[in-house]
Amino acid sequence: MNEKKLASPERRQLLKGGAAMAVASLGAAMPLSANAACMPQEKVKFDEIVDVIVVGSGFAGMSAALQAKEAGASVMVIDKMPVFGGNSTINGGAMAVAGSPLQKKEGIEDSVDTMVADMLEAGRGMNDVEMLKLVCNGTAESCEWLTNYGVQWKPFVQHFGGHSIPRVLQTVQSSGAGIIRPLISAAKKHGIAMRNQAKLEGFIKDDTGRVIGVEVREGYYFPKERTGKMVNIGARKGVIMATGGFGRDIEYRQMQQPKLTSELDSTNHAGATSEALKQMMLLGANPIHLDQIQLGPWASPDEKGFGTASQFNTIATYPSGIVVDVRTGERFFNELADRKARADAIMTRRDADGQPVYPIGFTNAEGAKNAQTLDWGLKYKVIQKANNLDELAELYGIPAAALKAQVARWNDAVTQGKDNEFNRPMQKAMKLEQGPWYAVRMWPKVHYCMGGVKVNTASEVLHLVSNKPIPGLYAAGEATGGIHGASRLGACAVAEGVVTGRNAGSHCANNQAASLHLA
Amino acid sequence: MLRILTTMCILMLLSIPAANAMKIKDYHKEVMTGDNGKVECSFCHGDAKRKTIPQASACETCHGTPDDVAELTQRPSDADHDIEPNPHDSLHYGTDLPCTYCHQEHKESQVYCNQCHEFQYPDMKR
Ligand SMILES: Cc1cc2nc3c(=O)[nH]c(=O)nc-3n(C[C@H](O)[C@H](O)[C@H](O)COP(=O)(O)OP(=O)(O)OC[C@H]3O[C@@H](n4cnc5c(N)ncnc54)[C@H](O)[C@@H]3O)c2cc1C
Ligand code: HEC
Ligand code: HEC
Ligand code: HEC
Ligand code: HEC
Repeated sequence: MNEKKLASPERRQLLKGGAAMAVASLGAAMPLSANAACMPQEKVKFDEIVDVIVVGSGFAGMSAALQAKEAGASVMVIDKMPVFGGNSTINGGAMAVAGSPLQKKEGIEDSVDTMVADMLEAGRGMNDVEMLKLVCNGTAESCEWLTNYGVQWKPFVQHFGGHSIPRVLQTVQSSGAGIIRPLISAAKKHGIAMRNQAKLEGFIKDDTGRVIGVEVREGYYFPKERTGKMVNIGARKGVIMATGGFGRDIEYRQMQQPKLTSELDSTNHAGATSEALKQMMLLGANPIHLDQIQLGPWASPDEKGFGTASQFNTIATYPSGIVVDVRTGERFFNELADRKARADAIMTRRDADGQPVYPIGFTNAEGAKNAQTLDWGLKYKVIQKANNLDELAELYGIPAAALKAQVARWNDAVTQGKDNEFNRPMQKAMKLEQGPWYAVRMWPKVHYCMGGVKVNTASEVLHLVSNKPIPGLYAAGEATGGIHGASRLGACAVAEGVVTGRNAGSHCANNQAASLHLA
Repeated sequence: MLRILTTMCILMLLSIPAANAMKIKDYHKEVMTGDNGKVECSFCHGDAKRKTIPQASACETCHGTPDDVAELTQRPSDADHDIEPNPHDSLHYGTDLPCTYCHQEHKESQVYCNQCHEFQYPDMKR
């Protein structure tokens, strides 16, 4: 179906309500203050010109690029890294979809409003509701769009923490690579220019303040700043910023949240830094919620990044096990609370000098039966095995009697169906009776930036002073701010990236073309 | 006096042509050494005066396409977690990652994947 659309560009398909917004936004060209760090047009010699430049090759960038191509535009994707896919291609491949065929098959009633309500609750009401609705409304259709590009989903729906019902689909690879790789193949096949090692360093504007191109460092060898050479690339219709978050930018994230020091690792790829965001701000883009930075409460200090523990804890320890303070052998929080509550709880475990005392999460073989990363985790000794509770206590230096008492108390709570200590929802709780036991040490890691630039429902970046679109500048995905409010629900970033990326792609492709000239 | 001598030494060191100063990998010594006994930098760096990090295409002239290289290190389809994954064709990146992000020429090689993983690769000539 997508193939057909690409073959006949006149068959443009906009997301619901998108067409009207696109038309409305065309008249909005407004002059900008002149002091942004950009070159005026007369001096610019373009080395190459296309209709649409997409910066970033994750979910947002690849979706934007293909959607713009479907609408008939010529498209170039640039990414500063040696490889495409940013955080998207290392991610867990889980996408929240309201009203998927799989939900219908399993008789699960869902609606856009229910998904909006769930995300508002997690976001503590701070969400940009217009954008939130746009995302939720687009999930079912975007999921089908992905399927048509060759994405394969597991044949069942999953229930992730914070969602009121099961609505999460996951690629068969359990990885965002299951989405990114097919989209890259399609892009190459349909003549989208894919440029790696190409870093955006600045924007080029015309006299009216419209963004008409980018300054790119080609042949860039991340992270060596002086490598490669500078070229100017023109964009007749616009530039779409799909540059992701800044979780690995320790200096910048610490300006927003002084507690997020280098003590905290991050699950992100090394290219998740803030320079593209800063360039947008120099153009006048409105940054919002930059201090809303999500920590992943399922990570382990015994490995780098997301690693093997994160999936193990998400699938095994949290739903089917318990987490205890290593000094007391006792639980200290609701293991099924949202990400923010769990991360905050874990980080209270410190010694007299303020140093982390890593808690231990564990479950048994029954609880771990679906954990795909168990074998890798055992191999690298991030996950450890103990045959009985005495062995487990010995392994981590937990007081054995206290640990056994805690497990007994937990099993009583499961029998009663009520957790009097921390009020954990007990519907899926499992008694912990039989070894062998599997355990990990835990400490949160920086995972996702809720903040970014403010956009309207045509994915145009809004100016800080006028609150009007900056002409020619669009943004999508984690680079935008506000959709998730104070805390993002799991599986909602794939949804956001694909839906807002496609939205940006179709609006940008329908923008009026500026006339540009090669050098 | 001593200081002048040291300065002279440093100057002499600096003036030695780069061609002799850059160590290359043992596995490349034979193929890269010309009849005059000197390493042919141009095999990887082309003729440009200022040497920059070579593009993957520089390696492909002798080693074949990334797909060819991936085939050299293909894993059995039923490989379990005891076998490290194919570095030349990964889940996330396919065959896109340029050679020089892992195989360094003038210093010890590294494995790009190990920013995030703990893969061993005992067979890799570092
Ligand atoms: C390990 C991990 C697991 C996750 N699991 C899930 C999950 O299962 N479900 C879910 O919904 N979310 C998940 N997330 C979150 C989700 O993956 C990300 O929020 C999402 O991938 C962001 O997509 P994006 O397209 O906005 O940005 P990215 O995929 O990060 O892409 C941004 C790209 O822009 C490039 N770039 C940045 N600056 C420049 C520049 N100056 N010039 C050129 N290029 C530039 C980067 O190199 C990068 O490739 C996970 C995140 C991580 C890290
Ligand atoms: C002029 C041809 C040539 C070029 C150019 C070249 N190589 Fe080689 N390379 C060889 C030969 C010949 C060998 C030795 C093969 C053998 O021992 O079987 C070799 C060996 C290697 C090996 C060791 C393989 C092993 O057995 O483990 C690696 C790794 C390698 N090259 C990487 C590179 C990279 C990376 C580049 C580009 C920067 C490159 N080569 C460029 C010819 C070349
Ligand atoms: C992700 C890191 C990485 C990249 C990128 C990479 N290699 Fe390798 N390469 C390795 C590792 C690790 C091995 C050891 C092979 C093994 O364990 O099977 C290897 C082995 C080799 C070998 C020996 C293969 C054999 O068994 O005969 C050659 C030749 C080689 N690489 C060439 C290349 C070339 C050419 C490129 C670029 C097209 C490249 N490599 C890119 C990591 C890499
Ligand atoms: C087999 C391919 C190969 C050959 C032959 C080779 N180089 Fe390199 N060179 C590389 C690679 C790959 C790099 C990237 C850094 C590294 O791997 O050490 C590099 C990096 C360099 C750099 C640093 C460039 C930068 O911008 O950081 C210099 C200088 C250099 N080489 C000089 C030389 C000289 C001089 C010779 C001849 C004696 C030579 N090289 C021969 C592959 C080669
Ligand atoms: C920026 C971080 C990052 C880099 C670089 C990276 N990976 Fe991964 N990889 C991940 C994450 C996160 C996962 C999912 C969690 C897990 O399985 O460990 C993963 C999973 C995998 C898996 C699946 C493991 C399983 O459970 O079956 C394979 C195989 C893999 N990566 C191979 C590679 C190879 C090969 C490279 C290098 C060419 C590489 N990765 C580079 C982050 C990365």
